[in-house]
Amino acid sequence: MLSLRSTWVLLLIVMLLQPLSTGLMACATRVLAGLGWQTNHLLAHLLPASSDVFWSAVVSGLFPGMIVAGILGVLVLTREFSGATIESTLTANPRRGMVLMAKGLALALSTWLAAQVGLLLSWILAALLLPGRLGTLPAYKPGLALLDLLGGPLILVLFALMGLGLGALSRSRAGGVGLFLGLTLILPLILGLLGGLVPHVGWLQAPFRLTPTSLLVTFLSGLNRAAETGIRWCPTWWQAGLILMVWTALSCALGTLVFRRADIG
Amino acid sequence: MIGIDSLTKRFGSRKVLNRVSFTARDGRVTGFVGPKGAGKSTTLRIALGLVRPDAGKALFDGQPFVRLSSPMRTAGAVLNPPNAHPACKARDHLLALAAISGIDHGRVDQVLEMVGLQSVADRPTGSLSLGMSQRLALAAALLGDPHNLVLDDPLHGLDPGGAERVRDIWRGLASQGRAVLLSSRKINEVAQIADDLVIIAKGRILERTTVARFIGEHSHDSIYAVTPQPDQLKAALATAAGISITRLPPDESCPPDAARFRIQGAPLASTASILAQEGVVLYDFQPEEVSLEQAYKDIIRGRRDARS
Repeated sequence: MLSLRSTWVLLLIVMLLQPLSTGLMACATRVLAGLGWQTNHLLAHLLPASSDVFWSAVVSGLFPGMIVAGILGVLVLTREFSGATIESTLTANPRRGMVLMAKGLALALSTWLAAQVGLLLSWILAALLLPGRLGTLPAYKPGLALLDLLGGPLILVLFALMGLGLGALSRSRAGGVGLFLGLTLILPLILGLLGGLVPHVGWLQAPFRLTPTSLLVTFLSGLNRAAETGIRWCPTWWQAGLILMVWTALSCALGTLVFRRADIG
Repeated sequence: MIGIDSLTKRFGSRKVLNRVSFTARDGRVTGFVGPKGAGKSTTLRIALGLVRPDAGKALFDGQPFVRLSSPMRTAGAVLNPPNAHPACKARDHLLALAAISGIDHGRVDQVLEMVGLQSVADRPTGSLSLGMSQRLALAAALLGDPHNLVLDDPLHGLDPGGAERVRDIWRGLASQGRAVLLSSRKINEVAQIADDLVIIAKGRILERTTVARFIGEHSHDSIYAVTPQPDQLKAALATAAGISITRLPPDESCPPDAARFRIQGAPLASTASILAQEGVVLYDFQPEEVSLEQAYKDIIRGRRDARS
């Protein structure tokens, strides 16, 4: 897996997307604050940047990073099917569960490393571009800094593994990427649109909040009490993390089941 | 030893293997021959755990492939090359496979030298010719110094020099007491290297024999005749001693009103005289050296006709 250039390229993208996104967001924040200063309407909550804004900028790259990590996860297995490499792999080790687990382990470690380095770069960049970040954190978001800095990369690992599971399920690049994007982008988009446009379907907010992308937002926002959101039910950050783990476990379990039984070639 | 026992497999409603059984013995090269779609590759893929059989089993030294503790040391396989990622260098591909099985990295250079690929070891596999990819696949199969080799159409794409090189490798391995099972569509290709022969068509084993016996049974000189008067031809030659006349199945070159015959044990000139005297009309009359390929085709066609 790591001997391929495409793997390194995708890992590099996962890493560099984060400071890039942080830089853009920090610049946008400074521009907005500057406009407010000129019009005597200083956006006090922007500069000096509140911790909320600061940490939003730091983790903003995790959202595009999630997509790239998922696609990397899909490709780790499915690119072997597009050639006949899978035959070499499985004749070298016919225990398919073990093959998938080994790939998952390598994928998890490499994704975590790229995401962690990227997030630390984002943090440094945000500290340089957004001074005054040490504003007091809201009471319902204790430990947001640690949660984002250490939890963010781990959540990206979950998305990468979800991609691996969906790749094993479909055993095709297009199918795997389609499933992953459907789950992370299209499903929340449809649920969100329906919830917003159709009257009397407020209950759709619950499944919307259980979609992987929405769970990522909840996790990174560090929400500790549902009541603060004003919504009937909303998972807390740790519940969101657990539900994301269930999504990943489900994808991996289904993928393993199908991959172990599939005819190759 | 590779044991294939009553393998049966359906893909949807199509039965591709029907109780296929044979053994590739230690110390021998076994040729597994059949036309395209006969079930050769499916049999080998089932043996290697890539395809699940509906019934039957395949064993390497008494064990299913998927349960072997060190698969690459027990069985090496060449399947459908190129089977390395095109961006991956040839040496890196072998190093990755060696790492999977805990094989010493020094072995990679040994197998590259065996198949003559040292000079292209650092090239991406996507830039290798089909023949080189075949040799790289063989190098991968040899990594674990396996006791059994499974080769699916391994000479496809090889130039004569490359083919001779890999044949020497297989002969050497068989002479060391290993089992070599190779599939091919071309019986002549197999006859040059194999000791034993298994012929398959439409998912059924048609013949299990040795190459020597097959050649003995099917290689002989004869006369090929096509006539619209089959009864007159048989009657004209009926009194001649030691002659055998075999009616061949019709083929596309045979006119619809005619029949094809193989006449064995008769000199060409005297047979022609007899048929001329008897006024037998002939569309075709020529000496024929029955090739292995022809005998193989006749076997496949004959069994197919017998079933239909």
